[in-house]
Amino acid sequence: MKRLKNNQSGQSLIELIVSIAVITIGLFSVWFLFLVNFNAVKESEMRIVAANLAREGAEIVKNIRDSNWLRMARNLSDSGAASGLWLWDRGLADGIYTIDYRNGLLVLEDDNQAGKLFFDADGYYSSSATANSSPFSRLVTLASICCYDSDPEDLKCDDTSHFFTTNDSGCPANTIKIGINVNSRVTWTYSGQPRQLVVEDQLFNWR
Amino acid sequence: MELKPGQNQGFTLVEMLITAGLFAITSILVGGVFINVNNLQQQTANMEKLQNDGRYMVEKMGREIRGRELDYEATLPSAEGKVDRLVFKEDEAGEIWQLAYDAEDFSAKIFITTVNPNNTVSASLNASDVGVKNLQFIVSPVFNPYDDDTLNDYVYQPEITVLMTLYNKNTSSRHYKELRLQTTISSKVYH
Repeated sequence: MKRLKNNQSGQSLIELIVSIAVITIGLFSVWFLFLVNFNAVKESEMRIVAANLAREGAEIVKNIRDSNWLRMARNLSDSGAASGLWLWDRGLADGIYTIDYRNGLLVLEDDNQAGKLFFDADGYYSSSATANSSPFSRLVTLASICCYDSDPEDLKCDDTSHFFTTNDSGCPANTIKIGINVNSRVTWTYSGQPRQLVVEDQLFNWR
Repeated sequence: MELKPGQNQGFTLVEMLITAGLFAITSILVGGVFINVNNLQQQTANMEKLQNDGRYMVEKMGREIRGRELDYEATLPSAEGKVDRLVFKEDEAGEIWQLAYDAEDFSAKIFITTVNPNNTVSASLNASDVGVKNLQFIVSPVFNPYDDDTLNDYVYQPEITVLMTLYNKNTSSRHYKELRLQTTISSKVYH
């Protein structure tokens, strides 16, 4: 006890401030970690919604092809086609489209809205403009998958050496269109940062 | 161990006040951070629950819609195609499946009916702490395209748009979250 007597100077103010600062930094780093986690989960929520919307885009394009098949099976005639026959890729020309769940139609993107989606009266995501805009935009891009073989005189794409190209403005001469590349892209912004999600599918004239 | 005079000074009032003040500030800081972290963690957990259920429900419904043929006569879509119950045709196992919204206990349900023996079982797609606020299906086309009497205007491959809003049950309003999901599934049944 005698030795302690002259040793009771305690802590200085500096030491106290440093210790409080350390405690504060520790606490707020924990808080910050939770905040980062919260934001990540919120972002994954946006991605789930976007993934379903992107899939909807690809699914509607597939539905158009399947509807064409159904009409072919019913021998419906197409007054727009030169042959008068219904074709599997009718209404699926190359281009950039907006798409809507209601009519299942592709509409060429020409209003500079970049496919912005709105909430309609029933709460569905829809491409027709309402006062209630959603954070998402969706564009569907169709491109032709073209096939050519080593024998351009007799183009059947059946040679052992045949090749594929993807072309966004129809198939060039000496190639045949065998499929459609569907690219469904949903974009949104999250806390100022652009985000996007792409679903891609390839459609052919066989089941 | 006897205390000598002059040694029992203790702390001055100012020292005590400073100590108490610092203690109060630190406590408030710790308490505030704890409450915030707790609140945030609850919200995060609630969102995760909704996402898990949402993903599962869309996947499960999509699978059934893709693989089963819709029974137009039993589903009876309205003029806009809106229904809250999808009835599918009897499958090769002799089962009739239905996907339906149960507005009484806020859930999405699957009903499986076997004709022989006549029996119906049902199961909820969402977990008990997740509610479904609104489950709607839009059937397109509104008439059976496989029926020869159907007008050519309705000859489309059947496709069904699903819209639902999931929310947290049994949670305080501060932690309440909602998740709205929409997707469209095209049937893979070809005739």
